[in-house]
Amino acid sequence: MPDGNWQSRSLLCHFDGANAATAFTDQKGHTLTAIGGAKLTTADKVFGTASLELNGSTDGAWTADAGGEFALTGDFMIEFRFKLTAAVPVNSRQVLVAYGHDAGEQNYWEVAITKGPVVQAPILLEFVSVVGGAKTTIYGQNGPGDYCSVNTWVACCVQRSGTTVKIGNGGSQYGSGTVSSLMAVAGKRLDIGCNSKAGGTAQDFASARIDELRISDGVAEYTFPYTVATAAFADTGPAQSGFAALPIILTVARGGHAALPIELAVMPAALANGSRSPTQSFAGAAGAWALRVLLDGADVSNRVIGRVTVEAEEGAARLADFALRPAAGVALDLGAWAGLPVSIDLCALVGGAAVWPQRLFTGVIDSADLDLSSRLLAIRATDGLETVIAALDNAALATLIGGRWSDAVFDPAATGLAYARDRLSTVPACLDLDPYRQPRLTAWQAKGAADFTHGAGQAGDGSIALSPAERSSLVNRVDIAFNYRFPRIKAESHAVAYSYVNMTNFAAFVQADGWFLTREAVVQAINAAGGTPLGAISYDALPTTNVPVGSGFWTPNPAVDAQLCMGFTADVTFDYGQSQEEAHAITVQNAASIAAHGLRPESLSGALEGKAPDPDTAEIAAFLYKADIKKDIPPDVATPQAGMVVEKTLTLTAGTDRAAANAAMACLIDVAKTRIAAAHRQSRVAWQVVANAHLDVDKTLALNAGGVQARGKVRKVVHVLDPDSGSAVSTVEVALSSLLGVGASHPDTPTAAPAGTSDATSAISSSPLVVYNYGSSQDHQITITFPAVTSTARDNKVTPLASAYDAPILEDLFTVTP
Amino acid sequence: MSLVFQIGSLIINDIESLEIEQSYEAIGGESIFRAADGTGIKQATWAKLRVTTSGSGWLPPGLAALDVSQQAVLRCIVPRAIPCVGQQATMPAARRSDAGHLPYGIAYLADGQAVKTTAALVGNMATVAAVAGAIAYAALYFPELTVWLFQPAASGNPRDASHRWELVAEEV
Repeated sequence: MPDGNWQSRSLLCHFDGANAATAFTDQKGHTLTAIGGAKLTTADKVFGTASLELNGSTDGAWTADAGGEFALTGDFMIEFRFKLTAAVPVNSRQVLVAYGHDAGEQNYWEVAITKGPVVQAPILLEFVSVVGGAKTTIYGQNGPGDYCSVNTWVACCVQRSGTTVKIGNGGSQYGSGTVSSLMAVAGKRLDIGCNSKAGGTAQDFASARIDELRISDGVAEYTFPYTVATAAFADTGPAQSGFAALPIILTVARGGHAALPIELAVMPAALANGSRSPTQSFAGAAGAWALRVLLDGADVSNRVIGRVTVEAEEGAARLADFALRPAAGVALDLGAWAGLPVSIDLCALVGGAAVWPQRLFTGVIDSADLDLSSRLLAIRATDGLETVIAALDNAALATLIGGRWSDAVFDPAATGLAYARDRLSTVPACLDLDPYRQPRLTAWQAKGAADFTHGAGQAGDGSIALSPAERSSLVNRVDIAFNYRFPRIKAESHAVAYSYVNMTNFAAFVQADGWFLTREAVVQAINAAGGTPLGAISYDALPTTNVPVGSGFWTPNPAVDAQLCMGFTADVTFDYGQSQEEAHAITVQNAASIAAHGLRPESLSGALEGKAPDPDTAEIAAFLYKADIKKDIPPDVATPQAGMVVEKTLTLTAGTDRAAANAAMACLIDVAKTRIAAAHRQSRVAWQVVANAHLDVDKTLALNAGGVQARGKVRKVVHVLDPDSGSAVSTVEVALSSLLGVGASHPDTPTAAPAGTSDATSAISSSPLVVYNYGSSQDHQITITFPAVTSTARDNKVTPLASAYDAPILEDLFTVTP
Repeated sequence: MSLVFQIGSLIINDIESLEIEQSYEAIGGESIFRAADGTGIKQATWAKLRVTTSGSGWLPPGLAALDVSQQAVLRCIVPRAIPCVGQQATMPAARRSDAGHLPYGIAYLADGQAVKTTAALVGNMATVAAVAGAIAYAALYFPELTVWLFQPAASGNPRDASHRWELVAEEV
């Protein structure tokens, strides 16, 4: 079973091997050196195949502390099995395990078997801590008796938890005490079986066998009494668990197989999270670094000559430049180099090997120029931002970027990078590729807490450069002119009421030989005027009984009278269309910037024409329907109201209707807001630090040095790595937006299209005129004259509409105190 | 047995090197990045040795026969020292093991004298033999490096039959 505290084990020796072997293995990698005749014996052991045999006069073993793992300054456990193989002399000391012994003996700890100056003195197990010459000793014994017997295997444990040290035997506590501090000196010797005096004259040899020695730093697992292990200690840790993101780009030739290159690197957490870089000093040691350059899958690091530069800029392709010595004796086909995959990793140099790679660049060769005099290829590589984006369809880009899109604002045929940049114009963010060539969107807004903070101890001396924004580059108001033209249909309805004779003057009318009006003539007169009766015409019928006229009577003739009338009432409607044009004047601005810097305007414009079925067709369809000629209700009919002009916007095609117009205006508003935000993040602060692969354009950096306090999003980073000089420097540039100061808020009007015009209903101010020439000598014609449709009601109507929006500005920390 | 300077199979004889001097120079990438508060951050990459050997004698050495297009094994003649921890020091693996050029020890006495002593090697670990009264020890060795050679320089004076030469090599 894996050891859950494997990371805390400093040493684990099973002392297994062949009989008389003098090589001893530490599962944690230390090299043990035998002293005297120390060897393994297979004749007597607790676990495994052998134990360490010590003769009590010359034998021992030692190993060097690498980084303080044996200094044991906190909790610790020293566990081992041992068997004393000879009687313990009076006034004797036998070191079992110790650390720090040297000629001066001022700082060490030790586990030893001792016996006092008289025969009756018990055998004790001592834990000794010496710090600066001051000694603390904790004793272990079985009551008043011996700690252990001779020739008996003992399960010994010395454990410190907090400041309490406990000595155990077989899981039972045989002593305890307080040890306030232990020596904290790294780089000394761990002795086994004697005090080697750091290579001087060794002493205090143990006559014993030792098996299963384990030293743990930073843990105290046991609660006494405990059950001692019945098997050898585990010498592996648990398998890593959890999930890790795996960025993968597979390029497969037609009909080929996909290869999946995977590299797993386990590295110190500080390197993994960027808080430390291989290029910087650590624990008093120089930052030893190396580069690993892979070209078409092959490691060409040993042919990279001179300086390597990697440059990343927000919204742009990542570039790498380096010189490569071509392979000797191989003919060069320069044309075949373009497109070859390249990756560059920054590694730590440990023991001469490049380890713990951190990706700086992934891309392809863009150009390879051969210098015939130096015989070097000057390689320019790119991450191919445009190519990667082009491989994404518009739906994927829309998901990645968000923002807004309108065919009325942008090119509807746009794809790839052009489409991406159109969408990006509505979002205060940038799109680029990470060092593994994966697309990512990063907001311009700096994070509340910087990813990395650089002070006077990190920023290069004299490297801080300020570049405040120029007023000429500011934009704090965008005037948007958006015209939306679309057709409306109108229904103008007139109430007509006419009477030329009634029962009062009927007799006189008849005596005067007046002509009765035919109903057909009424309809014709309405039609001749271009109107449509709305519903049935109501006629005033002729009398149905005899009417005295002079000396006689007027006698009704039902068959004829049904075609005549004394007057009529009708609602007559006229349907016609009118083109509407909304002239939107949209103002997007930041008032605080205008107050501070004066007005710095820009303009945007757009237009959309609503497309509908031919308005003339719509008019005809409405006419036929209202005339009861066609029964099908046309899609666009203005419901007439007597005496009113009723408007109805025609149904438009998708992409040109009101929703499309609103989307276009919202798009333009966001473009304007983004433009204003972009114009206000032109201030720059740049500085240098030791190269760190985690410094990238998706990070927020803070600077507090040289009188400059700033926190902003990285806009550009250039890594320059020169193996010849050892210099590895990153120059970072952050974009800063600052107007009122960090913490100040700016109003932000939610982006929603302004309201347009609505269908209206208005009263008709004039009335139709009916003229009927009913006299016997007249032409007996009826003319109905309706009020003319004015050009104003029919010609393109332009309606100006004004609206205003507040645009926010980011506020980054940016103060300069010279 | 006198010390012998050898490049590959070419031995520089005593008469060709009546005077001989050899210098070791560490080459490699190392720089100190100075932060704004003056903190020095040391950065380093690779580290190799450049060995410059110059000598003079009564006869010219056969350096012109060296093939500088090939790597060579340079057996150095000037020892390098490693202070011992106690009596032990870890030797670099790139050292001479031919007779007369084995690692040895130096014991430093309290009166300032330095006494040569033997050193026993187990692997790369040298244990210097104890010397009575020693307060410190050092282990010395003669580097044996795989190098690239630069074209040697040579000159001579026929009137007094003296010849001078210089050979620069850098560790591969």
